[in-house]
Amino acid sequence: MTAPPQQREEPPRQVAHDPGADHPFPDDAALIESSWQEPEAFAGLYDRHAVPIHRYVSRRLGDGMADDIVGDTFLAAFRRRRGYDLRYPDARPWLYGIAANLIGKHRRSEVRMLRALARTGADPAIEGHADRIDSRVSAAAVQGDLAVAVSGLAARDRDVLLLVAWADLSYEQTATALGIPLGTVRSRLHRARAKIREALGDRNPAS
Amino acid sequence: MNELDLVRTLRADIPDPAPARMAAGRGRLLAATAEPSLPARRARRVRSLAIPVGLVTAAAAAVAVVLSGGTPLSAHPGSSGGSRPSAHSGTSPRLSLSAQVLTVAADKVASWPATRPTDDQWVYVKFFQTQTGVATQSTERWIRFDGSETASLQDGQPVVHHATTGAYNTPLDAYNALAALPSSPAAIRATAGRAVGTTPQDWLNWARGNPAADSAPKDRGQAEFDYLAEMLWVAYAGAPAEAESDVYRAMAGIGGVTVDTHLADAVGRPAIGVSANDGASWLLLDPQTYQVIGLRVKPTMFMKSTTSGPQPPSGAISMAWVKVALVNQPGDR
Repeated sequence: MTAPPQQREEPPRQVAHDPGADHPFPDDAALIESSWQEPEAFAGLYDRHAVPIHRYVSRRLGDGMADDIVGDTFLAAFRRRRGYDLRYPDARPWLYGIAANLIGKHRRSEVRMLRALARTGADPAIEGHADRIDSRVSAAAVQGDLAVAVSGLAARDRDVLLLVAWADLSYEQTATALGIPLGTVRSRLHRARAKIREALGDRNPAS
Repeated sequence: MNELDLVRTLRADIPDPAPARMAAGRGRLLAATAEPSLPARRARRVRSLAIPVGLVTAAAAAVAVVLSGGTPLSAHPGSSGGSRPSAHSGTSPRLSLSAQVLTVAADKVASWPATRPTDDQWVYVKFFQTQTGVATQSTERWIRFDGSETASLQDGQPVVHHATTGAYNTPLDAYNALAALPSSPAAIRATAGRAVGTTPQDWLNWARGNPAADSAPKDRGQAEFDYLAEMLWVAYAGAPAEAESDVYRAMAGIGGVTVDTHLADAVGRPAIGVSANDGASWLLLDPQTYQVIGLRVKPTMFMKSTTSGPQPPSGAISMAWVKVALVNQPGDR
């Protein structure tokens, strides 16, 4: 390519590829900031995080509710995008925090599904995926006692436990997501683990 | 295994959702982003001419039909080949890669500081065109930004021609057309939509570059895309950076737009292709600057001769702006 008379320094090449791979925005904060002027750019955040959040919601409330809750999560995030603290490059705590609020409105459904799993051995949360999960494998994997234990936790303890265990958030990220101090995360997680340990007792495979 | 690990095994078999389910949610989000709550319009900046591209002004007249498939210009064998399939993953929603590419393009273009060429500024353009089975065409010309004068080489020396009144699509016209666009993607598409019409016959009439045209954009989105692509193509000599950026954002919202990040232009330079008709035509962008550097089309319209003469060739056409530069006088490059 012939150099033009007016040469300017070229930044490194940027080419957009699959959303799951190299990304033109270095982090979520840059993407969100871009969406302040160009709203459509916010869809990139959906491309990055909607799948794991959908799976998290499915695990908590079942497949039937996940589409709407994930959609509502990102719509809420979009409406709040101008308030996003750009010091946080990873938007997952923010997104999971919004999702947790929405999940919290279906607390009774979550508990009911966990108890159904414990009672019948059939997990309502995976009924929508029956064609993709070997039912024999899932039946063997069902841990009724564990489900009962989790269902018996206080909602706020369950939120902390599952954000750490299922969303793979760190303690700090969980604190950010739920808007609580780090020490509160630690204490709630400690309490949750103790109650599970107590509920499983001699049935704990780890013991 | 501790309690956390035990909890991790609970419902661990739940799989990722299918792409089709995610596309629906994405569509809801995009619809929300398109709702009118736009930031204050930024003052338009001007892009300076830093990209090495070029095109003969006369070829711009053929762009409207060529982009939708039209009478091919004579050229030399130098096949540009068929376009490759889109490079995006088959498991990704179809719009996601194209929307990202066009968003990157919009950001990139908007970031360039620029100065507007003066009306009497000379612009050097070098144009290259290939078509399967036809001789390659390479031309170079000079044109004032306002189109009042042009120059071409004769016996190796530039000869200046004074343009007749009503010169078609001067660089200044192209610049002003972009500058006159609204800033929101939805409003830009509405502007394009009013220009191309609402019926298939309207789209055919708009795309028709000669009386024998027999093909047209298949839907309004394709027509809007072609309209906007043409605006970018003919603004080779200079365009308001923000307007160009806004056009890319408008394109990102057109359904069915695809990208191929592994194309090449008529002179073999790497290019990102953007298409609204499944690769029948591609708007080619420089992978670094995201400026328009070329077009690749598969003609679907060709002249129906009423005589017994031979039909024009119908092989794929590739055009490239090899170089565009602001110069002091004809003859400079």
